[in-house]
Amino acid sequence: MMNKKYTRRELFTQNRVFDNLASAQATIPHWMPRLAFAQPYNNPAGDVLVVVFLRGGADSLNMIIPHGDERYYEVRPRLAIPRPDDNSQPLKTLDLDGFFGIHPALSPLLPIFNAGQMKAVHGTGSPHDTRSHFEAMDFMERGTPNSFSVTSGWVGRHLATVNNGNTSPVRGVGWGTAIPTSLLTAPSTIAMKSIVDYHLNGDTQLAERLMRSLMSLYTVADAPLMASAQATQAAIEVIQQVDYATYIPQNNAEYPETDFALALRQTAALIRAQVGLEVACVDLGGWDTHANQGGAEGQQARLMTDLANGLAAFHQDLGMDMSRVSMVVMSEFGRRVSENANFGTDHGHGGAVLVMGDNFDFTAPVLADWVGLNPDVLADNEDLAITIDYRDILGELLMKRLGNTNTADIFPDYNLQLQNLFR
Amino acid sequence: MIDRRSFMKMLGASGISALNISQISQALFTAPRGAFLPSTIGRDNVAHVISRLTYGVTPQLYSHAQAIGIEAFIEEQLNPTTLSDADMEARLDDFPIVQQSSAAIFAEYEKDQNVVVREFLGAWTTNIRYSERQLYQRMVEFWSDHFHVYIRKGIVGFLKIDDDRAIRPVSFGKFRDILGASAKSPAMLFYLDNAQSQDRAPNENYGRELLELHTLGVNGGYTENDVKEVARAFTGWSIPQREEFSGDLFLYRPRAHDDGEKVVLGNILPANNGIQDGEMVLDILAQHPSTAHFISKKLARRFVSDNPSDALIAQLAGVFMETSGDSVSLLRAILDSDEFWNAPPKFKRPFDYTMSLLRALDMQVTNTQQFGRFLIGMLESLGQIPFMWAAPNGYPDIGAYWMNNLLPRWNAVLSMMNPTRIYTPNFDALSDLVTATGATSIEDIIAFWGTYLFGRTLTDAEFSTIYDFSLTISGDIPERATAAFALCLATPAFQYR
Repeated sequence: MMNKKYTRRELFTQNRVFDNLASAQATIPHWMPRLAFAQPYNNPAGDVLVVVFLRGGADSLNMIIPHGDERYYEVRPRLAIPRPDDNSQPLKTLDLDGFFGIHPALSPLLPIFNAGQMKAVHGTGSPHDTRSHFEAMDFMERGTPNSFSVTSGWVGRHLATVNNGNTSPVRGVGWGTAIPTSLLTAPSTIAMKSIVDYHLNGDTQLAERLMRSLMSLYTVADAPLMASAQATQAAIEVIQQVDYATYIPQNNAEYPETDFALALRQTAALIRAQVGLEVACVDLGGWDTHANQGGAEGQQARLMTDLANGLAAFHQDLGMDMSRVSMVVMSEFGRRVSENANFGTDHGHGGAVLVMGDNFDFTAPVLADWVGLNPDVLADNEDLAITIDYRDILGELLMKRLGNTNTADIFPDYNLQLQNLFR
Repeated sequence: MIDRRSFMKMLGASGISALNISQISQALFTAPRGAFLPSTIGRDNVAHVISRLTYGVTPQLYSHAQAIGIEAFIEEQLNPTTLSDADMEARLDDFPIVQQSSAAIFAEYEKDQNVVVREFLGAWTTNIRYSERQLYQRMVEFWSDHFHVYIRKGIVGFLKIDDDRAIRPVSFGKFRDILGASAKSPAMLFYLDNAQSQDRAPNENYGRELLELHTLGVNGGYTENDVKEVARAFTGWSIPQREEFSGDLFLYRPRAHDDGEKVVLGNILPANNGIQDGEMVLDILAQHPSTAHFISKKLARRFVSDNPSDALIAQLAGVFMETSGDSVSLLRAILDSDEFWNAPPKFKRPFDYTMSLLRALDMQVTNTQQFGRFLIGMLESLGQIPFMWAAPNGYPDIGAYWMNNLLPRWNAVLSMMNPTRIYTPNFDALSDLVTATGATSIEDIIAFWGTYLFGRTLTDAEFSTIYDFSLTISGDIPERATAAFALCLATPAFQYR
């Protein structure tokens, strides 16, 4: 043991112990269709699920537009999207089936609808009675309307019960800096913003030693924190083999430079790299359009442009591989049927869900049990009624496309009404 | 300060093999859950108070709190005007834009909102990092979170400057004053669309969140009809057209106000009551028992634990009702509760964690502008840039929400330990602390890091791991002590406060 007294100048050098941040980049191999693992991880049970959540309560009536319902134009004199045959307007509804159509900003999705790889379900949602965003999202993502007793998320319960033998440490990814409620308690699941940045910075050898020390320290952390640390370490080992920097989307797909599209681009890369991804969750916020929502153009149209361009690029990138991907686009509730005085819409009830994939049983573009928009059929006289419970769609998807037979555990106290949407 | 005997014991432990470490880890892991709470077991009370009432220990704070003792320290923090903040105020001179009114800033920087937001965040973090009035700053943050506005919506980035200026003076005051400051804040009026709400068809956004998020809570006993009536009561609470921005931007528009009678929570607001409609609603809400309960729960969650007991919440709610929601009385009641002193570890939110790193390192900034960008980038990767949460409920205050994003926290430590041209950890100040303890060996120094950062002796497992890691660093004691400090900052213990 040393007895020398150190002066403070001596005690702390201004050395750069943790330098060489960039040096780790050079050793990464070239992009390959899949990782050079001896046995690539895969999802043995079925499709990769991508869940897109539109935060804020998306006004689905102006996305999947019931242009055949006269009442729609009466209750939305300023916000309604013109009929498909209204030649006085440059931007108008794009017809899907003679009754429903899509907003012009969603035009990149029209070819996908036409190819039978996208469906809209209208008049759907969660039967909770709250109009609070936060309660509604919570109920919906936990999959237990009006009940606070279950603390896990519906995707979390799916991954915990699917029993497919997948040992990948990245079975689930929540894109961003925290996982969404739907992924709560999901095994082998991480929050991640960027594949490229998913490593410990600095000198590679030092990073390895530091990681070993961290793992030792986190072994005595409280259980959830320990699990998170271990999941992080395991995920780093897999993720750092994905050479995302040179990933080139297939089929000339071009993703826009938005956070949303970037998350989808990275999802596609993980699917291609066969890292064992089963579920990816992506958020797109800003849908709480109480004021200045806009019609064919404006605030909500810009959001729809981001949504549609991202989805279309993902669809094009995956190409044939769409046959093993299912995507769901949902929101916590739809908005009120009538517009308000601020060119916006207030919190409502029923809404629409979009589903993308290549394995539909249902042939028409829109699944709906449409009861109309007259006051006597609206919920609380003002909201679109829910005629298809959102759990019917998700449950059928999990059963038929993701090979999970435990839907009674995933959506407790609920009897699924199969809609025969998927095959 | 660690005594020689336990120091020698540790020294012995430090030589154990990796196998023994894993056995120790195994034993710890198989123990009942909750038996090991690494951040608080054995923590001294001074450290507990520092970690809960402040944004984390600094070399100066460590010495000061030790010197004056726990009770005097608490009294100082509860009486912030007795503490000089001259140093912090001088540092705010680095942010001249945000010292003007929102109207003036808007006029000059209309096309450059990002510059304004960066300056605002620079000033905001300067307050938190350097203020001696740490508990007061925590309350400013608490109320700013409670009355959250999203600085990326429209012109909120400009309006937040006035909003901040309105919330600060009342943050140690009574709830009705804070509620009133928020209700008339142009940032809030714009963010939740009340600025556009008119008698013809009122906008419900502010009315709903006022009931759900600001006062009663979602199950606080209001109906959908109350939401609509409250929205009617606030019609006309607005801001000027942008070309007419000047001075105070709160504007009551009598012609946009709904003059009819309203009924809110059973209380009649008479017809032709004008701006008093809104004031009466705020009066009703501020003294409602549901509000007392809701605010008490949030406050206990912030200062005590993620799941405060019903008993503590009820006790605080009683204080709220007796004192008209007086912030300082509520804080005193929390500090008087056993639950505060026995509180389980509270996982730091990313912002808390980042601030505690900067404070523990006493980070010296040489380029304010570039450091601001660095800091915002870091907060973004960890997940919490202040006021960049889009929804009006503000960032979650529950540990489980934040636990799945550890990697950026570890990388934040690695970045900060490296001196750059824009910042340098204050190794001199840390050396002074070490020197004062008489520690000379790497073992002594590592043990002291535990005392300084966690307020307790390191566990054997922690010590062994940190010591072993330091052995792998080439160099002598300075290099190894630096590496050990970095690892301490990344430990589970430092993730909690």
